[in-house]
Amino acid sequence: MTTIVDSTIFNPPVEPPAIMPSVYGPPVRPLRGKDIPGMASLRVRDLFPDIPPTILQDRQDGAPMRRATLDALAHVDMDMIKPNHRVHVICSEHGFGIDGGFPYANMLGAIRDEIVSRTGCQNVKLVVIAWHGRKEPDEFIEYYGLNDMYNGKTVSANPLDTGIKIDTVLGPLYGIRAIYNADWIIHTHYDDPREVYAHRAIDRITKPFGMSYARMETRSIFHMQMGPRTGNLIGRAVADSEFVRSKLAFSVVMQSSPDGLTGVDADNDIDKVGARTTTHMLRSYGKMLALLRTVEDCIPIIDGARWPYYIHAGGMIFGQLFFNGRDWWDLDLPDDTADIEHLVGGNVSLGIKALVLNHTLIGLTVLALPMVYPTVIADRAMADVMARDFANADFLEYAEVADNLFEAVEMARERADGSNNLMCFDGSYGAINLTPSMGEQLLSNAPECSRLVDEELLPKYLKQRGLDPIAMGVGSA
Amino acid sequence: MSTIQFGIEVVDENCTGCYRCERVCPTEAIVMVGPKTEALAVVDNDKCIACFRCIDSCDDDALLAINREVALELDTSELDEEAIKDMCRAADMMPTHLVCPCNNTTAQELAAAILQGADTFEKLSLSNGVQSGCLMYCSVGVRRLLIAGTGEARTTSKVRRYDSDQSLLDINPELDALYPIYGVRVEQEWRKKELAEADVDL
Repeated sequence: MTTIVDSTIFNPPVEPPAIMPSVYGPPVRPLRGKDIPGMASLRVRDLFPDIPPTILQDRQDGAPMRRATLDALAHVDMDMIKPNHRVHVICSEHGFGIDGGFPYANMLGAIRDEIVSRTGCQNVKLVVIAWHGRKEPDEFIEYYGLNDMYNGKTVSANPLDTGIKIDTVLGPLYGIRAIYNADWIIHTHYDDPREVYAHRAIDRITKPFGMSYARMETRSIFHMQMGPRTGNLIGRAVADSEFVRSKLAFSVVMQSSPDGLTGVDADNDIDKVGARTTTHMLRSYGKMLALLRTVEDCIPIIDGARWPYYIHAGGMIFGQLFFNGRDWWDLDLPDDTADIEHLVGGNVSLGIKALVLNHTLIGLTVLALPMVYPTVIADRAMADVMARDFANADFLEYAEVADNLFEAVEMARERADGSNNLMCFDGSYGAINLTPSMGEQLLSNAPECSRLVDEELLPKYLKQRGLDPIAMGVGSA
Repeated sequence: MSTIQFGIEVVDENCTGCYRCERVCPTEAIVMVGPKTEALAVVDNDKCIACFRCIDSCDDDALLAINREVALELDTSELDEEAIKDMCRAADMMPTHLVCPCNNTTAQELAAAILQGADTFEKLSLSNGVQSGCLMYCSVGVRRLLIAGTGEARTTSKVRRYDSDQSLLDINPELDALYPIYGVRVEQEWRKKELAEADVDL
């Protein structure tokens, strides 16, 4: 069937979120992927009109997120928090990678203000966790004004810090002491489905307890010692421990869709908000994920403030394109292995033809990228940073270096047999910066993806997770 | 084979003697020398695996990366493949299991190094560069192999480590009934099958 694509559907490139300066990345340079000649943008709601719309018109405007947070917290019991108590609001770094990070920061600020207002407790501290760099949490604190929001009460933490033993059904696991060293903890999370290939939308709400909030040993167990699904049991085991349940006052989830931030949910019961989060995520992102699985010819431009796998295009991280070899959400598909590295590594995209690296952080191993695809680093500034990347020591042996972004794109096109299907992973939500030919590829596949998800996949995903589609307001059983 | 491409140089006048670098170095390449109130960092680059943890921990610009090139290559001339396989199996790992994604180090390489005398975290790092990346995801894999190969997970550096090292086969299969969506029994069966069939591939 020939699909006629309306070429007037493309708009000028959208402005992606600003890149937060970091010692873990190159200097922020003026050229972004959107500046490549011929780039346009395609709104995600032109691909799928039923994607939940964002509540933000301007990602710098804190009012909508604040309002949504206060509305969600209106239903949460805070009576357990007394004026003389110590409260830790725990935040995870990836929240700052969502649509520029200010929405998450605004949610965190509203949480603190509401706790102080309703309980009289002034000792409310924000614990900012980053996974690998000691300086990284301080960068977030400064850039997002978190110290001002929390009246000077912020703490940095990372997985190498002092641990605290947590007895679980799996035996002792270890959290980061700085997180749990309080009378009450507030779990703040988001439903961005990043790493679908790891969490599989199985119990997503508890994932941080086995990752962000955990010592390095527990993270190592989660990712490297367990199987594809059993890894998620680590977070659940910690979250279900008597220790955590005795401290967890309530949980707050920043809701999103590929269009942007859509609201906030909160509950004293982590399992209830977890069920709603899973449903919301499956419903909001299912179609875009299905669409990424259809990509047959693409040159991604990696151009954002996080590591390559975690930078968004139209609300979808690059990792979801890179590992698009199977439907990670369909739990009926057999894994046939207990080796998660083998499973994930065996499902990389065959549709990526070359890759351009303009801006990214170092520290997470991505050596697979230049080993699988012709990879061109945009300029010397990015290459110099990659040269000192301890997690990618051999990256420059496989990748090429151009003089500038435009030359890098030309080199990538040559190595991709002249393809002009560029797609920028630059942190954008709501729209994808891309070339019209790439947009046409997506538009032609979108209708079938929409049908497939509505009629077959979404009801199946929900039932596989013990969620009744009708009760969760999704289609029919 | 992995190649160490950097070493560390200390800028004495910037060092404030905070001891952070000594506490994060996985190979004891940096030690604080002198009376506690006047100690300065001293680097032995023969022990450095260029993980950059020290630079990351320093707030005073007292540590700089310098270029160098050292190849770490596994001696494969006399490998006892059965012993390697047995050690990996005892650690609940296939020989080809990727223990260290940052350095691309597999269980069999670590097992071979342990058989050749690398009996601590630090010696393993110096033999093949494991722990030269995030220091994190390899930590339990290295621990399990050291225990399988030597009976204990010895460490001599000041890096903080805790004795939690569960693997898939340590999970009580009865938890499958309590948490069915995680596929405990299915994945344990797959792991057992893969361990039984796995071979060394060096």
